[in-house]
Amino acid sequence: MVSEDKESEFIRLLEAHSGIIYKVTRIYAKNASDEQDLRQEVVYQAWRSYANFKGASKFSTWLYRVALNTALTHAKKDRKESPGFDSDWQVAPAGDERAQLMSHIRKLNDAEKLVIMLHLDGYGNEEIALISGISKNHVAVRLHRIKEKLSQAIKNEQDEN
Amino acid sequence: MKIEETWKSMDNEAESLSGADIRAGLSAKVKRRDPVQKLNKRLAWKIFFTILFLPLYFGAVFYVESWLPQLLFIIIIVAHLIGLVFFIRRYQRAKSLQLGENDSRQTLKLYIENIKATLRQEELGGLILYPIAAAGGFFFSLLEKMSLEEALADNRILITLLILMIILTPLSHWLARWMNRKTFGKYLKELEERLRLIESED
Repeated sequence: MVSEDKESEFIRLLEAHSGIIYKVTRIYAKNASDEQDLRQEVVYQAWRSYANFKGASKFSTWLYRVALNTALTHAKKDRKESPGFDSDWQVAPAGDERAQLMSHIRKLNDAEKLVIMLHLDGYGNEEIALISGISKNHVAVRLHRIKEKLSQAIKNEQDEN
Repeated sequence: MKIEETWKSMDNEAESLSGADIRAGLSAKVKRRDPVQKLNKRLAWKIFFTILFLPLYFGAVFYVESWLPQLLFIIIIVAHLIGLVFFIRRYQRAKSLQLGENDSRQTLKLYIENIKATLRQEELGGLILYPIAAAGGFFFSLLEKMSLEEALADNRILITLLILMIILTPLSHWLARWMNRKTFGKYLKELEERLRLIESED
């Protein structure tokens, strides 16, 4: 039986790092209700795995791994059931740069999303390699390509507006 | 738009999860999909079923009076005990491979290999055990009607036993493989696809 102290500690840590869950679920979910489900699933999986968290890595790194693993499984299953994102989900209003960036990241493939999110959240190439499983050299190459892809997409959108 | 700056600015905008939201998530009845948990659970089932069948074989040893079926059932019991230790060790190994803690790709590879090796070795072990189990069951029911000496002296009975073993061994092997594919295959495939996705990036 898990003690209440452990549960309180977990909740406190999760509250402090809820931005990670927010970003991962926002990027991998396909609509608002799916996002809610995915958030609950990430919280549940993190809680289940918390007993095995030995502190070998930072809590944020560990939480990222759990959230991404859960999101990848969730996204794959959902794509099988109904492919693509809902068209009215997260439509980025013109001028809202944050929403536009999110929208462009969501269009990347699963592995690209993972790499760019970790990079933007300040993880070094070595950590990204460990979390994603991609070799360190390829992380650098990948990142360069993803950034180019994103910049181009943003530029195209700005030109259209 | 500067990508890094825009992303950082989202930190303040991110909807934070409240303690109440998190507590709801801890007990929420959402559909669980994690393939690792599913596979671990299925390994635990193997331990459970091995334990479940053991008393039946023990009962059979005491029930039959002839030495041959007794010997066959003792071999089955020993094989089950070895299988039980094997499954427990494989289960512990699977549980120790935490995908969140170490090098993701390496851990994922080790995890998949552990599950595959468990199934492969179980299926191979079964190939040795099925003919023995078939013979055990055959004598178990036959000796209700005649003595062991009578049975062993009758060539028709021995040929029937041989045919039974020849039919049942591949059939049981095929069934075991089908069961393993049915219960483990889907989740193993999910993990293999995840691994392929990671490796395709390299």
